[in-house]
Amino acid sequence: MDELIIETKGLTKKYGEQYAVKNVDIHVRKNTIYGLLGRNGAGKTTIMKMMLGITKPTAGEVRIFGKDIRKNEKEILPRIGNLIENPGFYPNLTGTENLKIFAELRGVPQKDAVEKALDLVSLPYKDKKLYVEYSLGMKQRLGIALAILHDPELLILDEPVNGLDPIGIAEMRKLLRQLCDKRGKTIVISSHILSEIQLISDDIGIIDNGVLLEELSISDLRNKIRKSIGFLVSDTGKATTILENAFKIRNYDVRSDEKIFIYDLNYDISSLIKAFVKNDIEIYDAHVYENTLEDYFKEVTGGVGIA
Amino acid sequence: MLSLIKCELLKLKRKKIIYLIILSAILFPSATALLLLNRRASGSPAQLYDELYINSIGTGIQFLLPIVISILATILFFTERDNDTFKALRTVPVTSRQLVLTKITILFLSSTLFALVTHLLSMVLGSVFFSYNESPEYILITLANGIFIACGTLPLIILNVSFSRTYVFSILITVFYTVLSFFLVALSPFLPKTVFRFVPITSTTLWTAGVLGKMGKLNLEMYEANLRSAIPSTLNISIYMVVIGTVSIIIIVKLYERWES
Repeated sequence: MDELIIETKGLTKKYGEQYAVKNVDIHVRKNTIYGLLGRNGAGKTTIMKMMLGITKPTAGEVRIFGKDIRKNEKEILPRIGNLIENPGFYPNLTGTENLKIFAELRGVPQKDAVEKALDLVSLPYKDKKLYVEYSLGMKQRLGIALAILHDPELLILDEPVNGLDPIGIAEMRKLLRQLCDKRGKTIVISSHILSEIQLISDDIGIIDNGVLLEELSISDLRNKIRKSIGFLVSDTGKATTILENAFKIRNYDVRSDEKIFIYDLNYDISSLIKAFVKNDIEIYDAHVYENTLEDYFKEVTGGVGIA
Repeated sequence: MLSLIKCELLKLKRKKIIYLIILSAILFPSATALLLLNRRASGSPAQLYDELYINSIGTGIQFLLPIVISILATILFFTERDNDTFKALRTVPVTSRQLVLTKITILFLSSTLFALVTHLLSMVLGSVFFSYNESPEYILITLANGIFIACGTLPLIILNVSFSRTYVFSILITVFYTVLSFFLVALSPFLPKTVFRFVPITSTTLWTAGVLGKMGKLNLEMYEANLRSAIPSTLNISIYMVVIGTVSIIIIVKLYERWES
């Protein structure tokens, strides 16, 4: 079992009679990127706010670095960087001045911390532009710069690519991946953009209507949404023997007496059919299935698509 | 705490209203000096120096400072709400209590500074136009006024924070409060003594007059008897201001904590 950086137990938040978050158990492993996927209003932001101790849970607890956040804020919060919803900064100050305020408050000892943070998100240092004049994308970058300013071990980022252009999104993805892979950070991000989560995360939590429906690793997810070849054959036993002996395929799934799904896509469908026919297996149907994350999301949430 | 204060001051950078506040500190002493220049014959240069000082305290500090403090308080207290910066501060972590206490500290510092600037300006103008006649008590009166006015304005900040309306609302309510405080003095024959003791600004005005009267710098006969008997002792007003200040601070902290959560 990997070391867990964040663990929530039965995390619940009720507003009046309405559940915003219900009984959520999240497990974030050290040195991974955890993607929280859900529609707008699914409860992602509320979960993140509870992780940071900004919002008080109705029930359950959040353990970060093995300790209850609500009882150890002073010790835990300085080790976390965060961006929740839209970044909030002082409009009458420049980006550099804004970050300097937070560097001062956080007691960051390195003199060049602000410059480095701005550099990482490709914003100019000591630029004269005031925050009020920033574009949406620049505001977002500054928000990320603030999150990484004090070189925290854990980053909690709510919709970090919001408002960024496609190139900016790709840059941000690269940056977060680097922070995780090269500098050993643990990152939790949330998004309603399926492809984004799929591209960046190691683990994924799917949340809908405040309930964590599924938590799985990206490789499990790949298996689940993978394109597959489905056969309807007369004898699945014989067919699997052929797959294993002749093709060395082990990645298959027998769903019933007749149905067999092959996830190994190294062989094309015609060579498989030829082999089956040669061995007197009758084929009633052969089909290549394309499953997208969106289909999977629909399937898990039991509803319409995310967009 | 020191870095919190430093950051609060940094947040005020480029706020035009701050220049206006600095400018307003110059307004009353300068205007009074000009008025007195025009009636130079009404007294000796030393008397004019005193008159300039007393008027500067009465107008520049007791009338203008509550409005300045209230505007400043509104800026300080609404900044986090308006810019949505509270969550970033909260996760530093800075608690709302630390934040609000810092903001109140800044109010007291600014109030004292404003009073000192007014004093200094009246001193310079008085020396240049008339003749230097500073009494050692003056600086203490100025400092006490700065602190008392800050304490006396805190109850208004409770109103601002609890209604959390707009800047216009806070400014209007303070102007109303200040004008009312001055108006009370004019209504003195018809009001019970306790009113003057309990309205902080009126009480500060009376205390200042009392001290100046004892120094022989001000003729208290110009005050009506009811008003004269309402003049608080230094001990009384100090205790009263400490109580008003402490109670207000506790209420503001509670309100702000609720407001930001």
